[in-house]
Amino acid sequence: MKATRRGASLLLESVFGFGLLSVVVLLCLGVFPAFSQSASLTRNMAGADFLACQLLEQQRAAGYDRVVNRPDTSYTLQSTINGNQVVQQFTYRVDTQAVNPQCKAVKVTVSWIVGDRTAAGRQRQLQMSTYVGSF
Amino acid sequence: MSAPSERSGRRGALLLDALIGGTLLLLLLGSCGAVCTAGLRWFRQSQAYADAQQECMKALNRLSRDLSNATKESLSWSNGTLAGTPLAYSSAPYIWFVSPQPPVSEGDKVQFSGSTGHLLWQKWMSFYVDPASNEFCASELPLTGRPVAVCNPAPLPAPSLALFMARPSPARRVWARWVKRLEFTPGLNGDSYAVKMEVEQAIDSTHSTKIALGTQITLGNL
Repeated sequence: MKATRRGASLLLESVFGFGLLSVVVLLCLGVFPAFSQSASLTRNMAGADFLACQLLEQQRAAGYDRVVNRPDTSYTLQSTINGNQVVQQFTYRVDTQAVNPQCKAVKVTVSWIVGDRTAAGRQRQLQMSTYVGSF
Repeated sequence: MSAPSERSGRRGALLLDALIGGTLLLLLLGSCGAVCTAGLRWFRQSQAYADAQQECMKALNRLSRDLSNATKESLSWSNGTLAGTPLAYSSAPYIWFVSPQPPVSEGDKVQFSGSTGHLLWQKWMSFYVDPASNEFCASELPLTGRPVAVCNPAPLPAPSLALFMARPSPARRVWARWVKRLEFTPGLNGDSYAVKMEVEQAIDSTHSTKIALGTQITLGNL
């Protein structure tokens, strides 16, 4: 009778132990998608930042008269991560506005979709602006 | 004193305890090991990507900054010759031009002609990929009698790539590593260049992370 009680107690202990272990392991594994999402966001943000800086630089180099609006244009960032091809599509737009006859405000907007391209995908956006002068 | 049957039951229970404890410990260690391995792999991948991206952006930013100050009359470029697998160059891709910026040891201030107001030219500047090390380098060679006003429209005789490659530091600097491809495509009238760069970093002997970036560089001093 005593041995049976002890056996039942051990079974309960082991089930309880397994349960706790599973919870801990699942919690640990649950962090990985968050890490992955965060790493992806950082990569895309760095890509968008590079693109925006380059566009501002192009506007600066183009000269005052050639600083004009540019419609939505797509830019593809291609990479291979651990042998897998990753393609991230960005869309950029350049808006200019004359502040006075010798100065234009230039605003660059870079946007991209996070996640899938369905309605579930969220749009992210990065904006940079500067002024270009004529002298 | 316990009866023999009771002692035998305790021994059996202890053995079972040890077995269950050992199994749980093994499972726990196995799970932790798997999580740590996956974590390390992700960390290496992320770091390799970040490094490759940073190298590529750093190189293109530097190239954009310097090339946008060049004039098309002084500009020479080559996409090099690719040979072998994995990608290796048998001749280096390069671009060189006359720059109005002073040599690196003298700061960043450009000079203008007092009579015409035009930029004065200070040095030959070259960007190239070293085929031996896959490094993207910038090298400069001060112009004789600088600053000079002869760059636009008359081109100056360009030095050779070997001369740029032989320059000592700080006249020659490495701006990016692991560069696998550098490609220039001139725009209409040669007043802009599309530049594509590929950087590849090995994670281990079989896996690598590669990033390709492109930009359009407009020459500002036309």
